[in-house]
Amino acid sequence: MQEKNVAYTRPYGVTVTLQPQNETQTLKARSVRQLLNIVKARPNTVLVIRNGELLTPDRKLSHGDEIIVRTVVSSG
Amino acid sequence: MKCKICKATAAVSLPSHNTGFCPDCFKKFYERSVERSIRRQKLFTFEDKILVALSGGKDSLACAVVLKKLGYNVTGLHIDLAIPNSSAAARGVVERFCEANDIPLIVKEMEQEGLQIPRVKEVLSRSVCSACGRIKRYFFNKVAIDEGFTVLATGHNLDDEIARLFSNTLRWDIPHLSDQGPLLEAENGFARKVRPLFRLSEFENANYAFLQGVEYHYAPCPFSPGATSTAYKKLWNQLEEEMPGRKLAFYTAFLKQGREPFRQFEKKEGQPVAPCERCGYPTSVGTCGVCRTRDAVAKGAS
Repeated sequence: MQEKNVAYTRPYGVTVTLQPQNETQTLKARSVRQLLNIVKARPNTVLVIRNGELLTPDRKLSHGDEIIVRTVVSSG
Repeated sequence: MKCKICKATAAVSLPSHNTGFCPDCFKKFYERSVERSIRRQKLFTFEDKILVALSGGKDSLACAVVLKKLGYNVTGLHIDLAIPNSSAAARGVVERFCEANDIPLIVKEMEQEGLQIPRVKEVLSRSVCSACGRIKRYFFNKVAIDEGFTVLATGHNLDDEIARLFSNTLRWDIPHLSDQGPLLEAENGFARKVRPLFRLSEFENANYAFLQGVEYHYAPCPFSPGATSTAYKKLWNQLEEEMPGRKLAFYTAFLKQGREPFRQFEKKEGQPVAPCERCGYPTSVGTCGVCRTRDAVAKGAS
C-alpha cells in the first residue's frame, strides 16, 4: 500500500496541456481519440505530443502520461 | 497505425490520403508534394531569387525551411506589425529561425511607416484584419520589387486557399475568383507571387514544422477573434472529417475548371490598374488603400 502512495503523486489519469491557451487538466482517457473527444478537438486540427513524439488518434495512453494538444488552425 | 512506406509506428495520420507515415517518411512525402507543386504549376526555378514572407507561424516557416532544403535561393521578409503582446514574440521566432537556418532576413517595421496596427485599428470603423492583410501585401510587393527579387513566396496552405475560395464564392466576387491560385504572374507593378504549399493542409504544415524541429509562433493574433476566415475553416474542417479529401478536390477542380471563365470575364469587364497617385503602388482607385490608411492614422494622431 505504501508503494502505491509513492507512485501516484498526481490524480489518476493523463495530464493534458491545451495550446495555445496553456490550460492544463487531468483527464481519464485510454487513447488519443478518446482524449480528443473529451477536449472536443477534431483529430486533424491539432498536434498531439507526448515526450516530443507525435501521436496518431489510435495510440494508447497510460496513467501519468503528459500530453500536449496544440491547435494548428491559424486565425485571421 | 503503421507507416504506409516502412511499416514503423505512424506519427502522422492523413485521412485525406487514407494513410499514415512515420516521421522520416512523412518528411519525404511532404517535400515531394512541394516539389511536385512547384514543377507542375511552374512556380519558380533554382535560378530565381525568392523572397519568402515570414510571419513566424508554422506555415511560413515550413515554407522557408522546405524551399531551403530543396536547394532554392531564399531570403526571409518579416513585417513587424507593432501589436503589443504579439509582434515582439513573432519577430523573435523569425530572427532565431533565420539565424539557425542560415536564411538572410529583411525586417520592415510598421511603426516606422506610420502604420502600426493598433493605431490602424483605432481609426478604422471596420475589422482591422483586411487592412492588416492589405498593408502586409503592400510591403511584401514593395520589398520584392525594390530589392530585385524575382519571386514572392507565401506560406498560404490549402485551408487558407479553401477559406478564401469559399468566401469569394459566397459573394460571387469575380475579381478575386479570377486571380485566385498558386501563381500570379508579375504584371502592372505586381511581383510574381507563388504559394508552394497550396496542396498541403495546416495540419500537414504543423507536422512538418514540428518534425523539422522548427520553433514557431502559435499564439493567435489578439486582434483576430471574429475573423470570417476562422469560421469558414471551422465549417470546412467539419466537412473534411466527414468526407476526407473534399478540400483538395474542391480547390483543384476550381483551378482546372472554375477559374478560367472568371478570368475571361475579368479581362473584359475588370477595372484597369494604374500606379497610385502618391506612392506608385498598383491600384484601381487613384490613391491606394495603404496611402489612405496612412492618412487616416496621421489624421487620427493630430
